[in-house]
Amino acid sequence: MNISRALRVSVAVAKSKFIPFCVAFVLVAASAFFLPASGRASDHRESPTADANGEGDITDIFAFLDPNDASQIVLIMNVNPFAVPAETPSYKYSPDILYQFKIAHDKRAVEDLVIQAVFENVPTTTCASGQTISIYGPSRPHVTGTRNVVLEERPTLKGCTNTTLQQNGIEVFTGLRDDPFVTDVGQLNRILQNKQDLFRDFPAFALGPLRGRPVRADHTSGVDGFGGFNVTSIAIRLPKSDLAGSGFLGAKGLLGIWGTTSMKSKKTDGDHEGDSDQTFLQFQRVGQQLFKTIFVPSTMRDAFNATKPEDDTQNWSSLIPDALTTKDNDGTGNTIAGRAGLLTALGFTDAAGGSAAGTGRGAPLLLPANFNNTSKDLLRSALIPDVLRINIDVLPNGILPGAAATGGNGDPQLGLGASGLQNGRRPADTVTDILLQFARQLADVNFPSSLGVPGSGPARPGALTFATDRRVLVVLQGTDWIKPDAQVGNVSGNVAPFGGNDQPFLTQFPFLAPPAPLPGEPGTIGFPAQQ
Amino acid sequence: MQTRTIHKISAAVACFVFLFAAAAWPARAQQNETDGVIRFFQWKVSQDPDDFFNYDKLGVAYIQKARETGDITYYDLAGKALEKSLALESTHAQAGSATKHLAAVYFAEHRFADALALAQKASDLNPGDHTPYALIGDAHSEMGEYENAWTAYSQLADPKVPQSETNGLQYLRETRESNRAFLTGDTKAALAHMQQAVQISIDARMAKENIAWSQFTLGEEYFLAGDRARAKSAYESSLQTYPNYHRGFSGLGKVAAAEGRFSDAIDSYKRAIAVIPLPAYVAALGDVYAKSGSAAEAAKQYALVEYIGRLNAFNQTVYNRELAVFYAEHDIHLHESLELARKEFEVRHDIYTWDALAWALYKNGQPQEAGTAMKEALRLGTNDALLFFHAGMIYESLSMHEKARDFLQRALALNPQFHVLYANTAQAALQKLSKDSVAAKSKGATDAQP
Repeated sequence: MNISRALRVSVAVAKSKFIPFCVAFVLVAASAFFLPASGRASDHRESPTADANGEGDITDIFAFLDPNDASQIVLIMNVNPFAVPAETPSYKYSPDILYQFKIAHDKRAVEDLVIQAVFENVPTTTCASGQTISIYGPSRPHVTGTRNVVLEERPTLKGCTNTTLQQNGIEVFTGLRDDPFVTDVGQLNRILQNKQDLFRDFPAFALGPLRGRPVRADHTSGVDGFGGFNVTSIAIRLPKSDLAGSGFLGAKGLLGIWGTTSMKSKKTDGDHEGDSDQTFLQFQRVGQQLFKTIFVPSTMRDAFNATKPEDDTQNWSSLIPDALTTKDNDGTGNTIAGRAGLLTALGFTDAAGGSAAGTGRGAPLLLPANFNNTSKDLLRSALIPDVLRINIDVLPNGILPGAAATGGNGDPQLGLGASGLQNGRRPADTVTDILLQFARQLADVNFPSSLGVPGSGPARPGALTFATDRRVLVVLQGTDWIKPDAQVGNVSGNVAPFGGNDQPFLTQFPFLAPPAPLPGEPGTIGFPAQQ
Repeated sequence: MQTRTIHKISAAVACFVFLFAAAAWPARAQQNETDGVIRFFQWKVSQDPDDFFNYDKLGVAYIQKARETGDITYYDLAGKALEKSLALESTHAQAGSATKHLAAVYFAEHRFADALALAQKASDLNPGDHTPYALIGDAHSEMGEYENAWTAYSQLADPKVPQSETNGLQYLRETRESNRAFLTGDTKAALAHMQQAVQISIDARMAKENIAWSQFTLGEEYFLAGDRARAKSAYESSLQTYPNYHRGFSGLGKVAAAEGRFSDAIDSYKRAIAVIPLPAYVAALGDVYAKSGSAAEAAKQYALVEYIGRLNAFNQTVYNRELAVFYAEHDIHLHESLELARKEFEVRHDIYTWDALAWALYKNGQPQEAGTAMKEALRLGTNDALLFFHAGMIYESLSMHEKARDFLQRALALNPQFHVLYANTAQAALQKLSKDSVAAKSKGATDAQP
């Protein structure tokens, strides 16, 4: 059976177990208000709809050293996904939600420190924005886990939202920003639903045509599904020394960082011992990019959000595939080198160095064919516990003083293993491509025996199944082609000022791009080119 | 069919706008946030014409535009956008959103059975989302299946649902509990729930029009409870929230008419009509003209309503029940009134459709059938003065004088100025019943004398 045939055959069984990552946003953000029928007077006062506010819906967490001052670390939490430029005044923060950055700097994935943000509605005569923010911490929390209380101390900083504040050695920005997340989510959905096969069209594929988007004149083919949308941000800049400890997971200089949102407990709704009317219950947590949405099935998302990172290994390890190693695990040459050879032979790595004609069929390999891994748990250790990992000893330019760079393609900001997928996360990092590229080179895949390629043969525990699990096709090209071919190989945010984003990032705090304008209004950027 | 109907209504609406062009408050295009949202999502679908998500959002924006303007052509656009979304994705959980939004469009178009089926499908597609239960309950309610409606509404209050503490579900819960409480005769609870809904809509920073709608609906409940001062305040709040809100103006018109401030009432109704000439507003304006002695002006407004009536009776659109009641109340086209009421029965059996049927039967000289229908209209124990008035008049025609007197008294006690024309009719009927009763007693006493 050739690959094309295998794809077609998979139609009947390709009901993906995993909904695409945009769905996490859709489900939370787009619950609708329906205004009720009122049969007692004129008709037409019934009907819907207005989207619920996503004030507690975290889209992304960022952590990076200030490129202008390596003694400072910047933490960013974005909420209110899919904020439309036309609705600017309506996107705020909830006074009923506790927003927290949690930092683990010791061996376990338990928060040793928290930074809490609490909002309050005030008259516009007090603050033009109508809200204040109070920042508490960084301090050791009174209680850890999923039920939290506000720190009993004076706020480190307090002031009006929608501006930048500086108090007590920390700097805080709150307000509307362009959503820095970049992914061709529309095409991703179509691949998962078997309506398309790849992000970019591959009609001349040796084993039969593979459906994807056509290449445009600017050598891109992807459409940033998040382009034009805004988010509301909480950005904090503070001395990295305030967060330093003995080292997350025992690794010197390493921090584990994740964001949570929690709603005040309704005591009548639960009987949890120790709860008070000041207890906040966690309803969402976010660490590394895409983890939950790619690896956690939709039916388990609520359960995931109600758990803590220290339990991730126990709870969620089985959701992550085995990693390939230097050792053949099935007698078919199914190694890291074998996979690299397969991807190259099939033509999925030919955008190396940039294709002037825009004919690339895949990103260049991120890891060398001789990448030295001996653990089948490499992906698991990189992905769980689901927290961002940042080595604060690595300078913003990627240089780790006194140590050799260990990044996959020589980029020291790209780590793999206990240090996560990349060192922290900067707004311009092309994080979708990073995950796609690591996964396509390392995730164990079981191909049909008829293909006769490394990994072909009977089903193996721990391996993804081609092509029933269409996530294999999602990662095959290693990019969603948002950026022009010549830039696809650079995934670590060094393509200033855009990275892969539709708006240029600021070079100063808060580093995020200003809010996207309405299409056609001043400030609209024609990148990527509109179809 | 639906599209053609809507286009004909559009033509009529345009005609009315032209007729009112000389009015002091010309309709202004509502260039606002919603226009920007529509523009944004039009751009998004142009970026990726095969992405179901943005068609769904575009459809929601059109629905909101329909709400704000009262122009139901936007429902047609919403339906097209949502159908496109579902053509691209209809089988996975993600399709639940567009499915429930399309159900909302069908509901607005009074396709209640279709709305119910789609809302149930939305719930099946994405069981974690309980918001479709609001529409499921609404559709059951319109079809007179109240027990099913209450069951569906109870799903909005399930504490086990992760959504249960979100503003969205809380708002749905409060508005539906308000509706249920009102229909079942607990006006106090209805007001409390609606007050809570207003607060949630403000706290959640819902679209301005949605907040205004909540305030307007609270005003309606106050008016029905006979509290004109609070009703007026609520209507004014809706106008502060969303200036030029046609529903707010119509509410103020109703209060002014009830208080005998006919000039103010005319002013308010004209403002509402300048935004969107809904037949209810035109009829109400005509009633105020009639009440204030301007028969010629009243006739003009009634003629406009009749124009809509002919259009809608032919096209089976959404104003059937309103027109049935209008004809019956104004003693015109009585046979057509009954036809329209019966036609409405093809799509819904709620208590207000029973009421419309009862009133049309009464006006067509069929009091026995009217009494039977009225019994159905009253079956939930709803505290609505107009229902009581209809019941009183029907029972009076059936010579059930005690019941008639009771209902007329309840109508006037609940809201002495419940209707600009019929409050006086109720008073007169009640006086006549009282006189007859006295006369009968007197006659009885005389007859009893040896």
